[in-house]
Amino acid sequence: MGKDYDLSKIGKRMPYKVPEGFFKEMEERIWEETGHAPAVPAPNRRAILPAALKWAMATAAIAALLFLANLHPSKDNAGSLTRIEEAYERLSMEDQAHMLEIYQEDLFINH
Amino acid sequence: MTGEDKDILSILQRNSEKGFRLLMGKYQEPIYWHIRRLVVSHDDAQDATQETFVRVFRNLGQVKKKDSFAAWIYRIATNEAFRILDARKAETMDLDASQENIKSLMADEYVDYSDLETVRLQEAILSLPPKQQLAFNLRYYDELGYEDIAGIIGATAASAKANYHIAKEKIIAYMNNHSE
Repeated sequence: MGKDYDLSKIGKRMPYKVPEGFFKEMEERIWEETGHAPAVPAPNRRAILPAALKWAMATAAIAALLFLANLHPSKDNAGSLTRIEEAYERLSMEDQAHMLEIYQEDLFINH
Repeated sequence: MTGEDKDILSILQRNSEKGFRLLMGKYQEPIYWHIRRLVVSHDDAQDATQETFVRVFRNLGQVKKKDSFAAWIYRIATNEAFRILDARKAETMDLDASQENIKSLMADEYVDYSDLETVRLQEAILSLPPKQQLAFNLRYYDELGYEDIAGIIGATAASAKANYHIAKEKIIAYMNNHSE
């Protein structure tokens, strides 16, 4: 039996070729097609998300207060609303969120 | 994920063009050649490579730091290559895909037929079942570890290693039989 074929004679050599400048052109085409903005999540996404949520919750809480104020109209409605908004604004983010939570879970307010 | 890959992803977040160029600089050619060895035709390899990188850039957010970035890209590339091979098989109604690939090797404009030994080696690789072909190519040409190869071919590392060694033996036997 003859000696086994030695793959190291060929190594990584291949018969395949590519046209001149092929890789550069393909890179540009891919750059055009991906819209120049590869989708990688922005840093500190987790830190940004709760802040955005807090603002959304605070906005919803204001809406809830406005709704409550409208349930009990008074002669001085405009003044009451302003005072409620001012009072709400003075609350910490946590307290605002807590108020919103109560509003969301209170069946009597919502129905 | 290697430190270099982490750096590339980090740069992509700050400067998309710079990150893109770095990623392409590292992976474009190896991925093209990986696909080319599977589909043979230059035109098909070009389409599959382009589609691979479009998918890579659109799904970068899904890559986890604990995963191998190289294996992730190679897996996408391999899927793209097999998508083309499946379409080719459906077109020709030929059940023997390896024969179809060898025909492509003999017909492609961008093949140097003067280097007979390398043509023969590619014929030997193309005659193997897909898993053996992949295990051999990814180890021999791309020098990937068996863990990464296992992730790409959907097997265990031990199975990837076995597939590589069986493939190598078959290739050597083929080359022995076809040497002048």
